[in-house]
Amino acid sequence: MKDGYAGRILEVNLTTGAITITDTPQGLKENFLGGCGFGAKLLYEKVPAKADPLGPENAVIMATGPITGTLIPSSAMLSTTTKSPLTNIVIRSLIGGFFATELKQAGYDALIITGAANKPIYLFIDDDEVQIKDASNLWGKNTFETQEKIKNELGYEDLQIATIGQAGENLIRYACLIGGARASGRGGLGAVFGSKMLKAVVVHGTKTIQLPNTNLVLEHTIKLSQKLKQNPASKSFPKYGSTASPASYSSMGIFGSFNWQREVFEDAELISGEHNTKRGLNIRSKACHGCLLSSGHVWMCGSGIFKGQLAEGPEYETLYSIGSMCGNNNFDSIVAAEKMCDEYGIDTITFGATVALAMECFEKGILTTRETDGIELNFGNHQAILDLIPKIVSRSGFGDWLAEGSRRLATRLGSEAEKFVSDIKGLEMAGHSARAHKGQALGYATSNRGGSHQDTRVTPERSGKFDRAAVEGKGKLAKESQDMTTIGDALTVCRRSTEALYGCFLNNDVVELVNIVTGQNYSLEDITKVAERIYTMEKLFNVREGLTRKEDTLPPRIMNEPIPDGASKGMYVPQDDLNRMLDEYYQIRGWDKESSYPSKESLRELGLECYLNDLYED
Amino acid sequence: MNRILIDYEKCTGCRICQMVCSQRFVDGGFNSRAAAIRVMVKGIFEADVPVTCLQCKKPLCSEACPTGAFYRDAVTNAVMINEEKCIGCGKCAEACPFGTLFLHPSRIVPIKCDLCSGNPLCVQHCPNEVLSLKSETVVGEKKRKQLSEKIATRRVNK
Repeated sequence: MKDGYAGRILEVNLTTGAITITDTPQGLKENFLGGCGFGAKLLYEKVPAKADPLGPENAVIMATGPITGTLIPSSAMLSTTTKSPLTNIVIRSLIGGFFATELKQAGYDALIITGAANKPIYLFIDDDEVQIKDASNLWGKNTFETQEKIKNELGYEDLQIATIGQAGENLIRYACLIGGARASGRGGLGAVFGSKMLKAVVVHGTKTIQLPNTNLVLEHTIKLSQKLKQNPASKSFPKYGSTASPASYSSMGIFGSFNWQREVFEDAELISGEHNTKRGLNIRSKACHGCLLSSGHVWMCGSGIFKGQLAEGPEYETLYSIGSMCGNNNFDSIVAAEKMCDEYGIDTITFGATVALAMECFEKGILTTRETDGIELNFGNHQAILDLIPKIVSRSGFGDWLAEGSRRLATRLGSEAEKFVSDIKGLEMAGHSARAHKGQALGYATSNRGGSHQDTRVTPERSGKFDRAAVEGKGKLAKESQDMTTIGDALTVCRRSTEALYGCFLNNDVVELVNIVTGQNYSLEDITKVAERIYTMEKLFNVREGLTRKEDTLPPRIMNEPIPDGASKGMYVPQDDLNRMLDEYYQIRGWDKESSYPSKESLRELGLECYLNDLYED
Repeated sequence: MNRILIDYEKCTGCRICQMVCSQRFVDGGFNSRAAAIRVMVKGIFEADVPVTCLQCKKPLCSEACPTGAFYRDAVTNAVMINEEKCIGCGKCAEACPFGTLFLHPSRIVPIKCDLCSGNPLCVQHCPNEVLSLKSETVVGEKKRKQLSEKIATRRVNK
């Protein structure tokens, strides 16, 4: 069928070795669209309640969507859904590059991995032929070495590989998956792979991604690329990627620094893309599949023992987490840390935020050199950051404490440290100010994955189109932003160009795009329902894990400490503001205000009545 | 005679050229492995290198063909394959010194650049001006220009 889908789902049970290929159900396509939609639905069905995320009961769903791998700009993304070992709830994590295209060309809309192997293995998907192969010679190798070795072993130069490094093997709770040098970063997917003794998924696909009307896609792509040329993003991204922002965010007083004690970072310019391009360290632009913005960049480390080494990245989030959050103005150390994190396979956001928490605890005497193995863990000590990475990955000494992420570190250190932690539902906030943007705060609080900036976007408030201080209307803003990001992750397209091409909320242009690639005749209402259904499905997973309204909250600092200085001085999100926004949000979603559970009516309306019994006894 | 010229320094590896090319060789849709231009990746992110037919004057692909399936397009001068004569042996792909003929499981005839009747889609869609269709007389022009600039600068600075 020429409808944008590959038409099949591959399931591999690593315990039994069973490999099953089934047709992608029509109902799944229509109701859940693809990507994170398939992930939400299949994860709920494959993983029992309260399963150990690092046990064989957990599943990994890697899914593409109807746009993936086409000529539509930035159709590069793979959406992976699993139960996170960092948060014990659902995590949806996306990766760019070329893996998603390859998986779809091999003929699969989704890959489901269940069970666990008892020795290191990797999965080799060569179109219809699927093999579980021995990975004992790859275990212990970093992500770059692993990719090289697998290419040599299989004799293909042009393969797509998603692999874990040593961090995943050692079950670091924020280990990630690396493909090329891009990451499926957040939530510890790498540790789930490690717990299954699954080193990598390797794909070689030669099939055609079939569309109902290719000429229409060609015409539409030309229209989109002309539209993109009018957007300011098309000037900045090809030059600096996401690294142009630190100085302007700092001057707006929204650049989290020193573990969110402040939101100004005086040295923001030193870690910015513009400054370091002038230093000659911006080596080249690197695009993902179909990217017109070529927003990825290869940076060189300009000094220190890693001088001359290259990394793809850092992106903005890493400039925040390993830079400003740690009070670190040394750009070269951020590049070096980026490279190490990519090689070992750890999420730079959680890593940086966890170190930043430790730094604040060190400066306040909660941690001393006795616990830190002699490391003087002051803010700005960039050498300490670099020294900690291998310690974390090998879980040696103090590294073992940090390997658990900031929430568990705070719990270990006691009630004082818990005041400084910056996680939501166990996932550390990204580099977008909650205190200075009420809608973003609500977005973090209601994100199914925790402190992610990829559900509700900060863009509408930061641009000034919405009053960032206002409480009223933020329930609507957060929900409608989540609708748009959910559809983006279902289709699957990269956030960067979707915002430039379609804006931040669902609209008829998005619907037109969906109809062009699927040949369907969806309405805006249909697509909005799909978004609501997917988001509710993820929510149901979390509810089944025991989450209630109580967990839809913000870090203590965000609710109790006004921003001390800078252009956003005085702003914060008192509990009362959060409560009012949550009430509005639940009402719009049709969720119960006491429990936050999706109501019976809302489940019926979304066609999710089959899950009523999981929530309600009668 | 026109050729596709490649400015390697500007390539970001987006593979738009590859995707837009592929839809000419498949029945509705896209397929990165059914394209007459390929972007090869060196290492993890060190370099992305587009590879496509140079339309040689004495094509080794043609010489290697046992059925005489190769001919030259009268208008574009592109080296073409007569699909009626081709038996899919792949000798042409082996013979090409640059690896620019591509075999694909679902096709008998190798995939080879035919310059899209003179207006190549890859050139039209490349977002970074990596690809251009130029007269063969300008091949090497950039290097010649660099040399003349260097000499001129040296003179000015004397």
